[in-house]
Amino acid sequence: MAANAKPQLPPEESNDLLDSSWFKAFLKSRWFPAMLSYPTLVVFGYIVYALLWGPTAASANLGTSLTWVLWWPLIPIFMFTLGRFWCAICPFATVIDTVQKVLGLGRPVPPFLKKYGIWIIDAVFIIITWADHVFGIVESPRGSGYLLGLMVTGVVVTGILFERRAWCRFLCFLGGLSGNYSRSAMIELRATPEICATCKTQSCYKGDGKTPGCPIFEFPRTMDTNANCNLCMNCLKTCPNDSIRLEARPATKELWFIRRPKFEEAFLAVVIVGIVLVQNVTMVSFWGPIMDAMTAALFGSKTLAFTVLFLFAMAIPFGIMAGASKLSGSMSGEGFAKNFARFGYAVIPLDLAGHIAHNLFHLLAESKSIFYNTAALFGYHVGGPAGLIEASTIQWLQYGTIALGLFGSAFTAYKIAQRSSDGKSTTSLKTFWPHLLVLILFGIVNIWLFTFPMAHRV
Amino acid sequence: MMRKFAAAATLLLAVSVAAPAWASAGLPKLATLQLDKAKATLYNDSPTLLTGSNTLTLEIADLPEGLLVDLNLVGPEGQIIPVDLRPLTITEGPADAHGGDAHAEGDDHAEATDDHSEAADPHDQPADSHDNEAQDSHDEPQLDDHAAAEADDHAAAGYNMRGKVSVPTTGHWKVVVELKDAHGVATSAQAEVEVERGGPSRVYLGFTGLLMGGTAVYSLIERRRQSTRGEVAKQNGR
Repeated sequence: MAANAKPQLPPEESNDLLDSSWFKAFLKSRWFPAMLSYPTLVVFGYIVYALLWGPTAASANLGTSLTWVLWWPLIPIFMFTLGRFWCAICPFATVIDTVQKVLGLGRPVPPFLKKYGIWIIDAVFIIITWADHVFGIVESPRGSGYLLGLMVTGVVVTGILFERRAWCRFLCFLGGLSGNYSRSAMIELRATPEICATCKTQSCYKGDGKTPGCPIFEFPRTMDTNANCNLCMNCLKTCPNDSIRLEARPATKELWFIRRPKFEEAFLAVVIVGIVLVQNVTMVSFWGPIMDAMTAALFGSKTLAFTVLFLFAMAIPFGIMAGASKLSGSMSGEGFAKNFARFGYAVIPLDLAGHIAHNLFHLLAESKSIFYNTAALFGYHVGGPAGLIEASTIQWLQYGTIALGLFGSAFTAYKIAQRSSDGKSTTSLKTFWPHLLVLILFGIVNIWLFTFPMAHRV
Repeated sequence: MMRKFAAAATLLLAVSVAAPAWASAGLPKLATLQLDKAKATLYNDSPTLLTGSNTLTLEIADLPEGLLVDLNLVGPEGQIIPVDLRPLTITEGPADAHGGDAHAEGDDHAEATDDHSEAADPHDQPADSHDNEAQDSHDEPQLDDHAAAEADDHAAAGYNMRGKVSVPTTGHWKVVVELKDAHGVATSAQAEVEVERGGPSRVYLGFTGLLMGGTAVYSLIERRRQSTRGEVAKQNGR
């Protein structure tokens, strides 16, 4: 076998989707991702217009329907199956690439962004969730429009100032969410180390003059995570040695061992537990009396009451997880921070399941609003129930989704516990039990919340 | 780490004391009008009328048969804008599973939606031929004879129509609903509505535009400087 040849597995053993010649040719062509990203940009442009200049009632605004009833529920499903594929066709990425061609200054990303980017993403995600409930982002077309408009502003400014897609890598809260969720994904893009070892050009990172290198600052040769790979296929197009593989894999496999676990990434995963809980609890019937009682106790300020409850909801999962990490770490002689960083990733499947389950309701109980609002756009007045299926059926789908997520998280925690922090196998699973109990607790709370009828967004 | 969290939480609490809650939801009710024995409810796709396009939904419960319905907006300077009403087609499907007081502001919408779904058949609506010459400026839908005949066979039924209207100016406007029989206007009712400026906040547009535009201008200047520096360096043989 020639030195640069890719190790050939028999076809029935190969998981490489690029073994399909037509699929590979398509991904390498100029049609990908352009034939998807430009139409997405056009639709996005319409959505921003509708949100900012259209009706201010959420149920009547097509921008709201398309964003929060269709796209937001589908996006975690995409992330679970196709990793960060959305990022390949994201309108923000297209805007960055276009703006850079005309106005880009190409400056290096400032060190503080590289160091604190994920913390900025964590903070922005929390603030947006808070603002959603206080100012009404999801339920207010104008609010949604303001948010998207601010993001476009950030995208344009960073696209002009910095090289590559600095926004996507260091600032986009959606990117942070995608990065976390996509670690559970069923596909991965990797290079073949044996082939890369002899590479002289490194054009996957630098570009080849025709196609730029990785826009997300990744070096495919050493990339071992989906977290920052947006499946743009620039590396596939530029690699002269046919090193790139796009392989199917068991879901959550990447989480079983993370070479360099980061506390801030694990923190984001745990915070998302709190965010999903907040999103669920604020839409059920007993939330009203709780809010009323808190409002009465806090100077009559609904906003202050919500903020206190919100901070409480953020702090609880972190506190519980921290307690489990302290206990688990003490069993293995590992410090709290290291244990938290390792096991924090185990909640990602449950995060994903909670997010999908919550939004299943909106997708299946409100999606006809997309049809009604689209019809209205063309002058046809149609109305009626917005649901596709009965609420009770949706509930069972939600329970099933949470159960799958809980299984995924528990299995992930088990696999993490099988290796110590230096990557060596261990037979002791003492470190597993505290985290398993926490995951079961999170799962039970999620299922309990789904037993209550949920309010509509539109 | 705890200090950073506490600082962020304190900041969030401080902001929250001042921040109003703006969240809104549901298809808003604009006005309720009493037309003799019939009650008309007017909904809009925004909580108030906005300059630009609005989609109004007019529901009249117990509309006596044989009456035509006209909906007009009357402006502060007496301008009249007719609303072109068309039947609202109601689809079938599972009942909306509304629940939770958190959506209380949308409860009107919840009830309204359920009422919409009960008024299922647009052919139940009374004929709305708009043959009246005074309304020639309308571009009204032409109902077929079948629909008119069916309407005659029904007892007083629900009326469920929707129309788009473009409002040019802000200010105090009136919504006028008229029921007409063969002899002219049988009864009418009106309600005051406020028309607000549609679209996003000008401050927001200014801020984002300034930021993007300013960065673009900065980039153009900087790129020009860099290319000038490059030319000078070339000339100096560097």
